[in-house]
Amino acid sequence: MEPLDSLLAARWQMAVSLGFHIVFACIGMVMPFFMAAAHRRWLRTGEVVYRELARRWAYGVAIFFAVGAVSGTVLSFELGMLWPRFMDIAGPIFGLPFALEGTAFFLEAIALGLYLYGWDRLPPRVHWAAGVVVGIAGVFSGIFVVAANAWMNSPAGFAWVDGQATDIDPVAAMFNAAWPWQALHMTLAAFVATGFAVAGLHAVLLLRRPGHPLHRAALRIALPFAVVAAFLQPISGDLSAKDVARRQPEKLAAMEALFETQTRAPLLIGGLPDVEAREVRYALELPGLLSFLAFADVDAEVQGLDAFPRELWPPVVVTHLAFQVMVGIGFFLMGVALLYLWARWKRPGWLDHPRFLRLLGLTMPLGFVAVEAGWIVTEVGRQPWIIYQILLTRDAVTTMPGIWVSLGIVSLIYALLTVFLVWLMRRQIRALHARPVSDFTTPRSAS
Amino acid sequence: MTPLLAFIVFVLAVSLALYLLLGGADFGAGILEWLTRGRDQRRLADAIAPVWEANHVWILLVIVILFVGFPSVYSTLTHYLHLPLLAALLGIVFRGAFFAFRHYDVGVDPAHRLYAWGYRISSVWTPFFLGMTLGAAFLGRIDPAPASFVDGFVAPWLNTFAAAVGLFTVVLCAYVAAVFMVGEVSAPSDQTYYARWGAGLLAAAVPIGGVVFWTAHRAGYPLLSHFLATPAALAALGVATLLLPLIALSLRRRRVWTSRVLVGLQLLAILGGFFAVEFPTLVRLRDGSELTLLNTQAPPAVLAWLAVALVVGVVVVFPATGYLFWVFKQGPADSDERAG
Repeated sequence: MEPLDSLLAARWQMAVSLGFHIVFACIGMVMPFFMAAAHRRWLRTGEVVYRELARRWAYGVAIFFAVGAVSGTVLSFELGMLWPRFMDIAGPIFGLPFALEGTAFFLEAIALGLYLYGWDRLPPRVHWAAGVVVGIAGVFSGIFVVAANAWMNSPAGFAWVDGQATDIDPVAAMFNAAWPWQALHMTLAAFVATGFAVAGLHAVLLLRRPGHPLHRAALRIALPFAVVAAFLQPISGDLSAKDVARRQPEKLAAMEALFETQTRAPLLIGGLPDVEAREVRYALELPGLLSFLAFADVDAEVQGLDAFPRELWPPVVVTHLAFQVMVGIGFFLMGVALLYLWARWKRPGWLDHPRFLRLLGLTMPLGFVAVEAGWIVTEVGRQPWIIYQILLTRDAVTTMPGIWVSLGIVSLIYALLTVFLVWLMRRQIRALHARPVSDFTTPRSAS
Repeated sequence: MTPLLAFIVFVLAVSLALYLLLGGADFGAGILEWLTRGRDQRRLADAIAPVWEANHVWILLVIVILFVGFPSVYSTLTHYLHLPLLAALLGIVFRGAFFAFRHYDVGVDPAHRLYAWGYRISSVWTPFFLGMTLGAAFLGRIDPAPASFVDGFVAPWLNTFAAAVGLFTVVLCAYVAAVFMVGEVSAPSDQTYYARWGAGLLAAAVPIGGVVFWTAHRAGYPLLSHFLATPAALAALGVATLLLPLIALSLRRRRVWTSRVLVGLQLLAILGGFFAVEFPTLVRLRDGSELTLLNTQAPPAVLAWLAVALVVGVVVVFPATGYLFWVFKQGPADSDERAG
């Protein structure tokens, strides 16, 4: 008897692998922009603190990129190891973005090699440009991968005849309906999460070393990215929700825990769905707002879960709660962004205030919690399908028994790596703080 | 075979060959570090640091070409060879992580011993299991209707032939790395040191190659007679053999680029010979059926777009890789100060 059946174990293993990889993928695609921004300031102003910052951040990028690269390699195999039947069908259809992603990733790796080791070998502008290319290639690679996931939500580019895909059109598959919205939402999420994580980290360090020039410079660079992205993200979220309402009404119903089809559907804030009783407890209801957000009309009818056979419902509790967490954090971070802008305009002194720094410290993990929650909404909300309305997840899973063992191994290793990385970062910071502050203020000749 | 399919097979073969050469040198640097007991830990790491990420993208390219272009090859291998692939993946994760940790962590203290050992062990472990997987794909013990867990998921790869291919792969990796290192150090005594390792590993590779043929024969896979019956493969085997004395001589004279080119040719001959024997087979099943480049190929529209993506990739990646190597590989790794 197995403690976990293969389907559940495989889903968990996929969740652990993706959940781990996504953090590194986000950091790997956004941090290079911070690093390049710091580098540019150094080139322009000659202030040595920005060169030091670019170098410190480049170390971070190198470590996170390496872990992101290997955990991404794991995923490229795991897709087949856990879901062989899925890859048999999907590989030829959604492979085009993967092939393009390979190119983007390759370019990213090359540009990173040039940047990290090019300090004394490349002309300054070329060197800086290599850093920018790392970021751009990273964003492209993320957008391509999301195309493949979006295809699972809105399969396109083939005809489904007797359990076989025919007339495959890889371009139509890549340009599926969900891609633009998912790619936009994910890219912004990466900027929000990484921006606040970096700003939060340096804010915490600034509390420990008040006025440390490196951390102040870090905040000056990371926060504007985070703030801009945090303002744009709710807009992109709204576009995404409208798209889901059109294409995957049962996913929207699960996100909102809407059991009954209704006009003037309410938007729920919080609440714990009770699937048996088909009701939601402890929720704040805003009448008509869901209809409005989904279809731009308070009287529009929104399909509830009752419009779908029970066996095709996504897990409602998980989807709903994850959605609440994501949206809640998204609005909280937008609030922080608003506070930042207002303070910058009216009360610049607040930005150095320990309370504001503590608030930023609080945001450090939040963006990534929202990213994880968002992926739970996307993936769990698509269940029981692995390819929406084409292939059930349980029909795609490997026939190999004992997947719970590999789930255990993979989880253990990723947990160990996480501990290692935290410890490693603490060491980097300790080494940094051991250096005299004058290292970061006295102008030195450029080497 | 249509020109389209031929192009994709060509890129697949080139990617695999480059992975064996570049990724192999990379794994080999870790194996060599173990063999030489960390003698030149710093230099070995510096030699590969700027290019190591790029060296491992080739395996991703192989994987993507397989699952897009030959989906059932990919799904059959990942399904039935789940366990050795899982082992290889764990090696890949540990190796990448420990390499990065070691390179970017501060200071020198006991943690670095852990990184070094993690990196060295996974440098042997990973190519071993990758080689094992490759051997298992061709051996013909993959059973599409297995009677038990062992029949389905263990027996296809847990056998002497697959293990011999794994071992052979490990030795080849170390060999490539040793020859590569001759050009990465500048002192003649250091060059001689690596040249000797190169020659020694080459001497080890020959009997281990023999073991591969012998275990194949014992497992009922007549690899040697197939080699002898395929003119192209026989020619490749002949080239690889004729290169043996030339490489030994070139290493003795510490001719950096001659040695590198000859070793590259030799590895291509070994790999090419093997695929000439097996062409167009990629996976052999227990019931005698085969998954080939022809009977698993995706529809033409898929292959056409895959080809477009690959051409885009070649146009972008090759000049960039060339630039990377041009910037960092113009002289021995120890001839200058590396930023870090």
